[in-house]
Amino acid sequence: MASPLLDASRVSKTFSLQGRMWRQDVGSIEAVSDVTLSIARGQTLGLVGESGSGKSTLARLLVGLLEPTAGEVRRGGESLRSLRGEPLRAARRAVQMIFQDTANSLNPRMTVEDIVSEPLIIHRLAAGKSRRDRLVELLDAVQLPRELLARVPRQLSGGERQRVGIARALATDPDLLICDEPIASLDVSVGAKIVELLRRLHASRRMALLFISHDLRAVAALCEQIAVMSKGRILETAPTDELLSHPRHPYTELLIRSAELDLDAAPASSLDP
Amino acid sequence: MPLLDVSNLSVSYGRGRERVIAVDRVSVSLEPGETLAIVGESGSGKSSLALALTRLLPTPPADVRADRILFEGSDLLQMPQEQLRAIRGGRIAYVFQDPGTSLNPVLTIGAQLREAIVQHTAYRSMRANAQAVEWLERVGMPSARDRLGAYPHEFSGGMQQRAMLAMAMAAKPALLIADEPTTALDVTIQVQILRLIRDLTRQLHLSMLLISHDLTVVERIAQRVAIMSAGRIVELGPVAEVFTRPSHPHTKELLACRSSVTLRRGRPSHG
Amino acid sequence: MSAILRNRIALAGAVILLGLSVVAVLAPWIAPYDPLHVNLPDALLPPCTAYPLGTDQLGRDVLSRLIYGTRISLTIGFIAVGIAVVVGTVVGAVAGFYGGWVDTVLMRVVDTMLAIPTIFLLLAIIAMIGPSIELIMVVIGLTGWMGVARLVRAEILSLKEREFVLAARMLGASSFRIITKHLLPNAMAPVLVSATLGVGGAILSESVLSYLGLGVQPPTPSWGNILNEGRVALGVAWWLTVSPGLAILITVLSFNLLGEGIRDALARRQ
Repeated sequence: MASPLLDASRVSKTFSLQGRMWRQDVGSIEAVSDVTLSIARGQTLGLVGESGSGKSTLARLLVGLLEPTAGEVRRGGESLRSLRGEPLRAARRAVQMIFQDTANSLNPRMTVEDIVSEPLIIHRLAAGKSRRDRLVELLDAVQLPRELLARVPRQLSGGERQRVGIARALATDPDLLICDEPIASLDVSVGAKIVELLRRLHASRRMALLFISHDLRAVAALCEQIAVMSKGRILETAPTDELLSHPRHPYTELLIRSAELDLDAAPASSLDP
Repeated sequence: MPLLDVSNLSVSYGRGRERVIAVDRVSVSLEPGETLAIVGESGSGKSSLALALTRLLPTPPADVRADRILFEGSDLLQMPQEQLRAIRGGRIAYVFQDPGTSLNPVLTIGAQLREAIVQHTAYRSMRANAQAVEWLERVGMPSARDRLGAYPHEFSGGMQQRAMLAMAMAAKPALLIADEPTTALDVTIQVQILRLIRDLTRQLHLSMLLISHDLTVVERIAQRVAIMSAGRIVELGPVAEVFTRPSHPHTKELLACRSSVTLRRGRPSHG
Repeated sequence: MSAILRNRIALAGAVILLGLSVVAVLAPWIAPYDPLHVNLPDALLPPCTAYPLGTDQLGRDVLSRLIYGTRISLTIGFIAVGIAVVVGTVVGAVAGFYGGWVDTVLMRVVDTMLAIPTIFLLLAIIAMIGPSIELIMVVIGLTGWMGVARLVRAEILSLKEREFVLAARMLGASSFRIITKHLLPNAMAPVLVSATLGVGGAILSESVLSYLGLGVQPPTPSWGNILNEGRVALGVAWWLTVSPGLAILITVLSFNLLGEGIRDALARRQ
């Protein structure tokens, strides 16, 4: 059986809080607790959770930006930690990420051309004319006109910036694209177009997607499978249809009803601390 | 007589070549007890509209003009500042998106509540305190009496928004202007706060101007809806009608973006 | 850029500095006399048509000396600040980026150096080794890098967590690339302000050194040593003190105005 594209096995991440003067440990936060999940080639998995659920931390663990304090993250069966040299670089190229804050995830002093070229430069994927061609190809893939190459992020709209982020992520031809709340800061109509773009990219490139969001509707529209996360743990994972029609965990039930904005089903007094 | 009657309101910023028209000759009216939703994307002018009504926009750089802004029969545009200030926070209450920045971080919730009560009602000291507790309970805050001495940062987002609602309601307003009141909250909390808002406006027979980008929220709470785009109202009517038979292309676009996925239990349908 | 143009005071500062730079470059063609030419019969003449700013004790034209002095002062100013910026940026970037014990050690070095009063340090070193223009530039620079280091470190610490830096790491960028292409370009704004203000300070430092006899040595003219030489004739020949004094005042003021203008422009862009 082929190993999954990416899998996390009993991954935990604990952050220790440091005192300011002497940097002693004053406590710790377990942002991610004992999480196991896997993504197969070409699959679309949605990760739903509210603020504080640990979903962003999990995303960073999966993409290799953070080291887990326990457990392992593997790509194609191999732990990132055990890879060196070319296999490590290849593993890096295979998984890319797009971020929520479109204004902050692009270097404000770089042009679109610089931003999208960077992965090509770092991994020496193209140079000279072929790099230019590849740039245009990537812009076309995200439906951005090539006139934008000379612009800086400040001159772009939120939707355009997100497309630039996607183009940058596609530059290495990744097998998996992790999307960390990509439409949360965008207008509804703009966000809908981005989701549509992601769906098309998934279909045309057979690229797997991990779509992280607090918006159950968007996740359900795009993904075949959904994992529900709360307080650092994954509460349940199931195919979308099944999760929505027969949620097993009460929190999932709560999420579904909240997403529907069924006001009369909500309790009158508060549940939050 | 409508509670609020706005005619030809325009708001612009800047001058000359840099002039931006945020609100372009908008006219709306609101009956007592009615909720009107203003829906628009970023840049549509909805927030400028909300702030301009009680002249909350600093002029300059804003330039606010209108034929009239009638509230309970008086023209807010012509009103002297002192009178206007009495109405703001009193007969017209505001609730904003981010309670974290609307609440004073150095005052306790109790102090801010009492201040609102003392300023806009006849209650004083002990009675004001009792009123404060009552309102906190009414907005669903557990252990209300103990919470009076707490500071805003000790509360979660949902709790802060409840406190804001208490402050708004305690002044016995006739009109509540809510600008994206639940957008910054977790979805499970959103439902509770929205229900709270709906129940309170019904119980107190309040009118509400609800600004939102979320059509589902509008559907649940508002009776009429105005769709704004580039400073103008492009469509206005009862919610049911606008949502089922939209006439303006922008309205149709917004409705189309609503995910067609139904989440109801049973077989969900993929549109 | 355009914001500076809009701020009229900063613009005035920039124009004056541009003018001074032109004067410095074109000194040999602008100066009416050879600054080193001694002409005793014409000593201590007050400002007149032949000598617009008068002459000094050796009959040398003050205006010409002042013009040539511009070269010295501006050169010292720019190079000293240049040294401070380079050293400070490297130290600040390394401390901010790597953190941990590297950061702690480097910052303690900065703190130690900051605790030593600049003037005395300058005086001590130069008195020991003997004054020369190169030494003066290096020493002034080395007493000014600490402020830059702190600024750069602070900027880098806050930039490090920004998402575009995370994105670069995710793409596989090397630490070197992250520091040079992502962090530093975004961190340099406050350094620019500080550097502009620092040039004024460096020129002042040179003037102080010269005034104490440890600066640029005669006969090479610098504003500071013209002032110094004019000291003894203060009662008789006010022009020997006023002219270089004004030149220093105007230059430092212009740099300050320009620096503040840049700061305002940057602040407004936020």
